[in-house]
Amino acid sequence: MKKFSYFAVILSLIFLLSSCANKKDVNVNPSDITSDIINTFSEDISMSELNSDRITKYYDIDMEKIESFSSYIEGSGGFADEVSVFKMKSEDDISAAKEAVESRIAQRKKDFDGYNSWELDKIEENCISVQGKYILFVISDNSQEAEKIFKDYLK
Amino acid sequence: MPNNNWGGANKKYKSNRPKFHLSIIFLLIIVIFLLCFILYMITSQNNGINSLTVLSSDTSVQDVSEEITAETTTTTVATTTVSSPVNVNPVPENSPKDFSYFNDCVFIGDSLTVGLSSYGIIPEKNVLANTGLNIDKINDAKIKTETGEIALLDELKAVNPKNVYIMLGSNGIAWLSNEHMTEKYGEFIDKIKAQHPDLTIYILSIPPVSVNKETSTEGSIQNTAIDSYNSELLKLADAKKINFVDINTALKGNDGKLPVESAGKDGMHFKKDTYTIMLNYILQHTVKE
Repeated sequence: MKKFSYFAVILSLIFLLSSCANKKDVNVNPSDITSDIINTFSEDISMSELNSDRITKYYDIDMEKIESFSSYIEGSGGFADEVSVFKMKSEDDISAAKEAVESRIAQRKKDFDGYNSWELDKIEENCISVQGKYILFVISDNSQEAEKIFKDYLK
Repeated sequence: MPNNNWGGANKKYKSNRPKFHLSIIFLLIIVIFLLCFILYMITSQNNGINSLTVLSSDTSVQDVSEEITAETTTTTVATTTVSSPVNVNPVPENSPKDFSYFNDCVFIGDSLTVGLSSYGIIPEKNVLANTGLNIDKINDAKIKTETGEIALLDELKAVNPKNVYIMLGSNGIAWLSNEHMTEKYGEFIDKIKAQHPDLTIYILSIPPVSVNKETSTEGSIQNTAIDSYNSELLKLADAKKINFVDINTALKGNDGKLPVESAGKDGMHFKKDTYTIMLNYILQHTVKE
C-alpha cells in the first residue's frame, strides 16, 4: 500500500511537471487575429482601424495595462460591426479590459436605440472571449466564427 | 524776319493760354466730383446701408442685414470698418481652401457625420456626432468624448472652432414633418448663436440616398422627400442669416439619386471616397471668415 502511494505521488509530480513544460507563453500579434476575423465580415461593411490616438474615445481603458491591441470599427457610422483584440500586460488586467468592453456595448446600445433595430440585435449577440492575456470583443453576424478563429490562434 | 520770329513766338504763347484754362477747369471738375463722392460715401455710412436685397437660387427673396462686402465695391473697404460676409445661399463656389481649413471646423450630426471620424478623415475632437441622433434629440444631445459623456453644446464651447457645419435630418425625415424639423433645427441654431456669436455657421443639405434606400423594406426614404426638406433648410438658413452649402447636389448622380457605388449596403451611409467628394465641395464653398 505504501509503495502504491509513493508510486501515485511520483506519477502526479511527473504529470504536473510535464503540464508546466507544455505550457508555453503564447505570443500572437492581435492584428493577425483581427485581419482573419474581418475576412469573415460582409464585403459591404467598410472597416476602419483605430490607432492608439483614437482608441481611448471608444474604450474607457488604461492604455498602460495594454501590451498590444488591434481594433476596427465600421467606418460609415450606420452599422455596429466591430472587432477588437487586446493583449493585456498580465492576466490580472483582463478584468479592466472586460469593463471597457461592457461600457462600449452599453454605448453602442444607446447609439442604436430606436435606430436600425436589426443592428441592436447584432449588438445583443456580441461575443467576448478570453484566452490567457488576450481578450476578443466582436459585434458581427459571424461572431461565432470570429471566436473560433480567436481560439484557434491561442490554443 | 525778327518781327516774324517774335510774332511767331507770341502767337505760340497765345495759343497755349486757352488749353491751360481748360486743364484747370477739368481738374476742378474732378476735384468736385471726388468731394461729392466722398461726401456721399460718408452720408451712406452714417445712415447705414442695412438692407441689401439678395436673390437666392430658389428665387425667394432674402433680406440680408449686413454691410456691403469688399466684393461689392472696393471703395467701401477704405471707408467701412466692419465688413461681414453677406450670406448668399446656397454658398457659391469660391477659390478652394486647403484641407487644414478643417482644423478650425466642427461637424455636428448623425451617423452620416460620425463617418467623418470613424473613417479617420476628420479628427475625433472635430466631430460632434452620434449614430441615431435626430432633430428631436439635438437640443439635449450628449456625445461621447475621451473624457466621458458630455453635452454637445458644452463640447462645442470647449473646442471653440471658427466654423461649424451641421448636417441633420436624415434620421427623422421618414417620420417627422418638415415644419417640426425646421422648428427644432432653428432652436438649435439659436442656441449656438447665443453661445458663439462670432462663429460662422453652415447648414449642410442632407445627402441623397441611392435607389437601394428608396426601395428598401427596412425604412425607405425617397429623394423627393429629401429635396423638399432641403429646400426648407435653405429658407431656414436665409431666415437665420447663416450659410447653406448644397452638398446634396454635389453627391447626386445623373438620375438624381446617390450612386449605388457611393453608398454602403443600406443605400444611405457613405463609402469612404464619398466623404472626399463631400469635403472637397465644402472646401470650394466657404464664406469669408
